[in-house]
Amino acid sequence: MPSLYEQFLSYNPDSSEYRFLVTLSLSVLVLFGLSLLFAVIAMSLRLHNFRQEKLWQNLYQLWNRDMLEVLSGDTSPTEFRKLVAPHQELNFIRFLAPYVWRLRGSDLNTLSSLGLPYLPHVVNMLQHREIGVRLWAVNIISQFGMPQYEATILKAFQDESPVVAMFAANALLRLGHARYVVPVLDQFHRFDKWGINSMATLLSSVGHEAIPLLRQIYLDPVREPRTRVVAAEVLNRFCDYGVADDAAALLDSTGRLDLLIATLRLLSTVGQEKHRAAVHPLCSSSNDAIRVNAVRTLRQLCIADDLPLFIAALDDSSPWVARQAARALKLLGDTATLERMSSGQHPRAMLASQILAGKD
Amino acid sequence: MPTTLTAVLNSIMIGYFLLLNLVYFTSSVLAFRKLRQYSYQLDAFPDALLLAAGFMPPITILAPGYNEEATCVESTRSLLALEYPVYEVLVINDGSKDRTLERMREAFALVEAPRMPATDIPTANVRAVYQSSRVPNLWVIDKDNGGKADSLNTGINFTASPLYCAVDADCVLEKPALTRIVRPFIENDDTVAVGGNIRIVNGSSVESGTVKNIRMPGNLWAKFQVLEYFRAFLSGRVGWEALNATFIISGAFGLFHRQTVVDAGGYATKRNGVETVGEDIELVIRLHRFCLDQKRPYRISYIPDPVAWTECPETLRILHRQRSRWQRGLLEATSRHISMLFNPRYGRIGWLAFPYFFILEGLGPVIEFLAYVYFIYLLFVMEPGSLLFMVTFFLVAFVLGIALSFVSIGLEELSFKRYSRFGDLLQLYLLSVLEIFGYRQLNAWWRMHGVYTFLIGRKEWGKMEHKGFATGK
Repeated sequence: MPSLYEQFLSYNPDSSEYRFLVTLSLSVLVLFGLSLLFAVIAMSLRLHNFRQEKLWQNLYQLWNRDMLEVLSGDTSPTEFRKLVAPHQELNFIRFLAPYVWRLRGSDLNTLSSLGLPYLPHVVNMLQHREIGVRLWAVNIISQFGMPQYEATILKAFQDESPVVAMFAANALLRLGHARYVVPVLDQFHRFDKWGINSMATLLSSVGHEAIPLLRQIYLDPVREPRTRVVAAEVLNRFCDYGVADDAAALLDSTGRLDLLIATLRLLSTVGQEKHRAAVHPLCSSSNDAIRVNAVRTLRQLCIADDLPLFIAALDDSSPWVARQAARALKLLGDTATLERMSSGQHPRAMLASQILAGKD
Repeated sequence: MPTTLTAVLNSIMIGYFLLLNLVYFTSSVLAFRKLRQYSYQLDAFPDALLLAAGFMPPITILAPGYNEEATCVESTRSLLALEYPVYEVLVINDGSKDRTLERMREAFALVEAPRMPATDIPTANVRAVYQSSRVPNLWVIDKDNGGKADSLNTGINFTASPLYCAVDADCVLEKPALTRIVRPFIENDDTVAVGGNIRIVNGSSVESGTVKNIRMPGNLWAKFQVLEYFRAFLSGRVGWEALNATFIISGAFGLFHRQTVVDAGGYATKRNGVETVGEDIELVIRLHRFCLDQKRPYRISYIPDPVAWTECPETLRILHRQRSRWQRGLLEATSRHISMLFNPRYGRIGWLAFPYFFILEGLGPVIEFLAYVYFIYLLFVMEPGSLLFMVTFFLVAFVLGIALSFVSIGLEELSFKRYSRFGDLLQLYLLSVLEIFGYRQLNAWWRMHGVYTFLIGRKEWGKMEHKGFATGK
């Protein structure tokens, strides 16, 4: 039996087998070289990262001490900034960012003023091809540079990435100007993957100044339903009692499930006794989600006249409706019904015990 | 051996090898880009900002366990120590025969409490529901034994939150795990499931429910598994996520939209369909299928950073059992949905993910095992020419395997750097080389055994023995 080397030599150099073997052998060499290269890169990366981390850790410790002195008024921001070398400016911003995200009031203003002179570097990063970098830049500018950089953020609102645009919108709305509500709403289709709650949080940051405009949007039948749902959620958060009558009227006129549910949720916060009549028909809807929200709304209104409706709802096919009804009974003080149910053979005896035990 | 047969065998093996490594390579490249993007986004939108925004949906953590007395208290503590505003923990004791329930009762002062199920997926009988009198967001459901999938279905029935997080009872979650894994649900309303990263806790210590002093395990088999998990999670799953074709969410840590799972029928058990040991894979495939059949917009994601630490087997016997079971689970789950294979209706799942997992991962071990047998045959028969080809081919395969492992280690270095000691890094490189001399072949054999048990229709789970977490004291 010839050795492997002899076998190799026995091939005709012009044959396809020979060429294939050579290719395979070269592949081994190339792959081996690449593996070594990967290893060297990763290990150098480890050493580099380790050194950098150590360096920045020491620097952050120094900055931390001096920042406390600035906050206590013992050192002026100008003095502190002299400690920051030009190549450390971005890292200085990185160091300040977590504090700025947590602090409020005058401390926040002091820290923002510390970072403000370095923002031009960050503004350049708005052109970066990585979405994450642009996102970081928008966040930093909005935390350190508003209202001075309002125009920059307004430009970032047009960014091709919906996430960057959304964070820019957040920064604009946080300025508290209702004038930004409509432009943001007009771009809502770009954020349509984000949850209603996230969008409502975004719009809520404008503050109460936006209530009249939000009411108008919520009641506007031409508006896209999802936008109206978000508006309803924000009005709910603002406890806008003024919208209750219109909301009750909307229950009759809208056929959109999400808008109907948002309206029921809104009424559960701002509704009054007179709005019950509009809610009652929905308690017998064939849609589980509508029934749950209708009974929940009535539960929040907490009117004793609805007791029979709640007792009937205990037998609803949806356990979620029954749960709302049981909670309503407890709220209205009808624990006797729940106790009877709990001690008897009722299929939802466990639910009654749960509500009676306050585990709802 | 006839030349034509040799040629056919050579072609199958080379074809399989080329295809598999093409996928590995592509997925590593995609993973590199995805991990970079993820790091940037985490930097730009840190957890603190997300928590401050206040739009975190409530989550129920479901931790099913069977005979987990060694780890249940420590893992539950870790689950109770998470940084997340609104969540509850539901531990499901699946008819354990050891002292799991007693240990939980003693540690958390459990008292029986009423709790009405909200849905009625068929499950084994629930004996009692307990609530901790010390920690009100901890509940324990004691039920008859029915298997992991049955326990998860029980948990889903008792869940009222819109999202539930399925974890293994022997896992330790990192504190920000929930805040990170929930991100896709906030950023995309269509998200129905998200998988998290699993890492190996052997060798590291757990104190007050938190993993401290992250170290490589001392046991050789556990060391190899650290490397395997790097490849599977950092190169593999991140790569599939980049293609928007996440196909597997580990049963050890995943977050799900409760109503969608209920609509799809819950986990597969003998009570609601076909029983499988790959209930986690089966559920994800069914969610894909259900949403695509219903034409519902949906997204199933994978996030590389939220970490669940798990104890891995340290003996060959248990490791064999685990790998064989995983292989059987994959084949059971995929074969149940075989009509998705190359079905244009299922888009990239039907054309990319399903064929890869069913053919290359599911049936691949047969080819891989045959290649080893063929190699040995050639050594004995000494068929000139073929042997030279096979030796060179195996060399390519081995070096490529090493290269892919090195890439995974590089990805870890670029992104999370959990193993901070330089010695651990060197060990990982050494293991990448060592594993090709025996460990890989053993793995191929175990997986081959999994294919065999699938074919003969074996159903049992096998036993995992826990040592308990090291406390670092």
